[in-house]
Amino acid sequence: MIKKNKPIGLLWKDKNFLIGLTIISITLFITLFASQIVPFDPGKVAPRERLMPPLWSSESTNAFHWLGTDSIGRDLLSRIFLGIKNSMAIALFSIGVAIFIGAVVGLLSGLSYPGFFDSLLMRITDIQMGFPFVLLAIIILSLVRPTVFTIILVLSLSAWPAYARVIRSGVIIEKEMDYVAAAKILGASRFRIAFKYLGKNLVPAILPVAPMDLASIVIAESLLSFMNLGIQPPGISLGNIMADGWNYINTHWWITALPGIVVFIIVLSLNLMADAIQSVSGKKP
Amino acid sequence: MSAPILEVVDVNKHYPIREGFFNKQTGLKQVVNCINFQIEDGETVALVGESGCGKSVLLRTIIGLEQPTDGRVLYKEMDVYKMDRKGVKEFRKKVQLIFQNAFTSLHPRFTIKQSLEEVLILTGIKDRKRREQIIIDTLSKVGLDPIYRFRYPDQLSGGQCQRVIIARALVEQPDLILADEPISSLDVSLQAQVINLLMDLQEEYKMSMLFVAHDLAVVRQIASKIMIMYAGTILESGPSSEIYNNPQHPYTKVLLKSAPSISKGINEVGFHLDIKVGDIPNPDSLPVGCLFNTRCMYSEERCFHERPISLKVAPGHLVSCYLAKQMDDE
Amino acid sequence: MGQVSKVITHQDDRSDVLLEVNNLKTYFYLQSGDVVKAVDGVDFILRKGRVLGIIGESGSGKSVTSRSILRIVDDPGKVVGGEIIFKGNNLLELSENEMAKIRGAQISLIFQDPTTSFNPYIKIGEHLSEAYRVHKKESKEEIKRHVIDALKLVGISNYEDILYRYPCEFSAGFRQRIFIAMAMIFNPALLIADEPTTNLGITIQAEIIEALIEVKERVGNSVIIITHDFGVVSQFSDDILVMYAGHCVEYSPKKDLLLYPRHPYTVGLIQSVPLLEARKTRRLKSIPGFPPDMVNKPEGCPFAPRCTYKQEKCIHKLPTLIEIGKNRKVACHYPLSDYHTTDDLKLG
Repeated sequence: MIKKNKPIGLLWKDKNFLIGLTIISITLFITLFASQIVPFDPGKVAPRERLMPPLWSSESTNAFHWLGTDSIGRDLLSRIFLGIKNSMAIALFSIGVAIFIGAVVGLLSGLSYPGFFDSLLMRITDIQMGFPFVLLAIIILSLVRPTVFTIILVLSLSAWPAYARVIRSGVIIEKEMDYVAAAKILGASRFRIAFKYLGKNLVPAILPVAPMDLASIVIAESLLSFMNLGIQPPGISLGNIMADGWNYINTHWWITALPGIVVFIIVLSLNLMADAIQSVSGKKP
Repeated sequence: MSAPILEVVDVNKHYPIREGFFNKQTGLKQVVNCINFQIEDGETVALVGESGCGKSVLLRTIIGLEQPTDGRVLYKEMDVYKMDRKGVKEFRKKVQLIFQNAFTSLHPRFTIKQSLEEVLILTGIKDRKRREQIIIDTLSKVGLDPIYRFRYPDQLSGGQCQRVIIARALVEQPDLILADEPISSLDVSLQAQVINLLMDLQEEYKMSMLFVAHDLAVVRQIASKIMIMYAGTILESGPSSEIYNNPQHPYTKVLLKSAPSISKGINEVGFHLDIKVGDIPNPDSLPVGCLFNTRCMYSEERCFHERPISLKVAPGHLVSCYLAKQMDDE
Repeated sequence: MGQVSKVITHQDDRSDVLLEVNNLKTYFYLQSGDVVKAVDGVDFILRKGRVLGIIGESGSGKSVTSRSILRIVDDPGKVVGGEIIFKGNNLLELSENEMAKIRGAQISLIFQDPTTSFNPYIKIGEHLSEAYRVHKKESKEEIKRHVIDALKLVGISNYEDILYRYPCEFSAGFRQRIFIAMAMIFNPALLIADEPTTNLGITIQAEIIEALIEVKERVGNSVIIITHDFGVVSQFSDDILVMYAGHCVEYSPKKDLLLYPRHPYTVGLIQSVPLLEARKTRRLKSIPGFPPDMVNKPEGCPFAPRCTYKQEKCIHKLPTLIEIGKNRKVACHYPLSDYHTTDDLKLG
């Protein structure tokens, strides 16, 4: 009999996981406290300080704007902080809604397998999954104004099918397990079985997938904002900071590049964490 | 004379085979056929058969998981599938199933305590302290340190898991335990331990038991009545002493001869079994005539045309075989 | 005469020794840092044409031993010590290529589940031909001849019927026999059967053991049969090796071991097997306690925690295999000397 070392313990020892976790923690901190820690008012326009390069650049002209300023003199560091806050908040809400919808659909589907209801739900899932994200975004967001609410709607509509599938497979397998039969014999109601028994097994099914998915959603949100379908000015998002700087990319590259690098770092950290979780839970291919 | 605690009357379990776009029924999977038996109060009955003979499905029918296609299952003279709420509640408390694979019958993310507590919660014991006490007592009864209740199934060995599910079956002090091959997944050195444990518990709790096994040697100690199952039917049944000393059906004789033996090894006795090479017939297409005809060394013409009926060869001893001699009725 | 000399070195005739395993150690290095000493010092000798039955329960290391011999131990396991001398060569010193030539041709392995061992989309004939082609390239007709010979070995003569059908069309017992045919296609000197009958019905078990006996009679190969089933090993072996927690605890010719076992574990096993031929007792005798924890093995004799005869020395010092008679070895500080199976169980 081999006593297993709890997987959590192994996770803490993984260097990659720790790096990813640190960065994401910093990101979350910024998300929560951005407004408090910005050095400058991100909306403050200062025409005389426009297009200043970042601190480390040779042409840096002052020591206050660490990351430089944008085309109308707004401090880039502050804008990026706020951009992180908005982008991450939207991404987190979206993934939350997606998981919720996915879980409900997956659970209902799996429980009614192999019935008609399951087939119906799965067809809906397939259709949703097959719909190209950008097309969906353009359609919805041109009909309704892009607000935080509608953006979250679009993002979660694209994300829920993956969870529905994962959870449905999990439910179908778990349904046949002996311990579920044991519970049925004892008279457990279907609700009880669904939530207490099946539910508990679903968290580990989602966990390896979620960080990667969050990364995709962050990219998707930045994309939307970049295309002007996301947060509208004066709202700040990493995507629209990049859009602002697009015209100056040859000369004043930092306005677009820096938020892009931030997105990259966030996505990379999430991937490191996802990788570590997958190898520890044995689900790595 | 009190009524038998369990009665299985003419039970069949057939599954339709459906094919094609419209799911038309093209055949019938006859997994369990025409089963009739009774278990008296305090009795242990063994159901012996190889894998694929339908014993697991029969158990599921008895425990209330799957309604039989025909026939009835009676618990204390109440039809299991027609009981009122009160009856159902009592049935669920007093009739328990022990699964074959202990490890998979425990939820991997529940602690042992949570798994055991489920039973008590579902049968309506609301007092948390009382539940805790029952769990501690029952675990001790099965020989496990109560500290194990805080562990997860993957931290326990196979033998310990087995004891946990026995404990789970006992927390409500059942009348009847259905044990589905409870020791086949255990090491030999543990099998005897668990059989002894079951026998002790049976005496203490005054329970009846239906013990499903795939070989006749393991049930020798524990069973007072034995039924031999093959391809969904019972070929022979009777008191233990009759089955071991006076087996009538060729299949029963084969099972007896194939039990593990040390004497044969010591005496260098050869190894041939009186059975033709082959498989248990497919439930999709059961043979006409005796179900054992494809493998029987003594089959005759009539064995291929008509199924033999059950004959009484001794008190309580029934056999379905043309070769058996019916005893004279006194 | 009645003397039991502790260290007898027989001038054994070594000419017919096929396989000699000395102090084999195979350890598993887990991700968590723990080390499982699955095989921790196994010794035995297998002569030509003899059958060795290795008996043990979970954690005994019997399967790992067979995989170590063929050097197919799965990660994170590694053979860390000892010698495996086959036909005069130490297998542990061979290169992977040389080892590949031996597998399937000189030493073959059949294992448990015949259902998953076959690719369901490939015909039987193709499976068998492939087993041959892996080692030798010959013409189609030549290979077919070898395939038919192999089938005849396991008692299958209607080969025309079989070769063009798929594995799923046959019963489990039949598939296992085909598996044996595949393993025997090169008439290997050694066939290792790792739990070939576990989980199969009793009647199928008999079919397979009969097939193994027939093959051995025709080819004259040696066999190592690994099992936890006493009945199997008592009917199909010449010598028996009992393993517990990665160690050999007893090694004797079959009759001696069954009639007069010396190690308390062997005695416990024999007593706890339900035997129809034994006197019926109210309760079965069982070995108290639980199987060993392979990660934290106690120092001293691994069986000590469960042994009714244990003494102080047993808890602290690991017993080594000592000879206690002709070809009989036991790893015990206080081997039993007066246990007679027939008397104790009143075998009928």
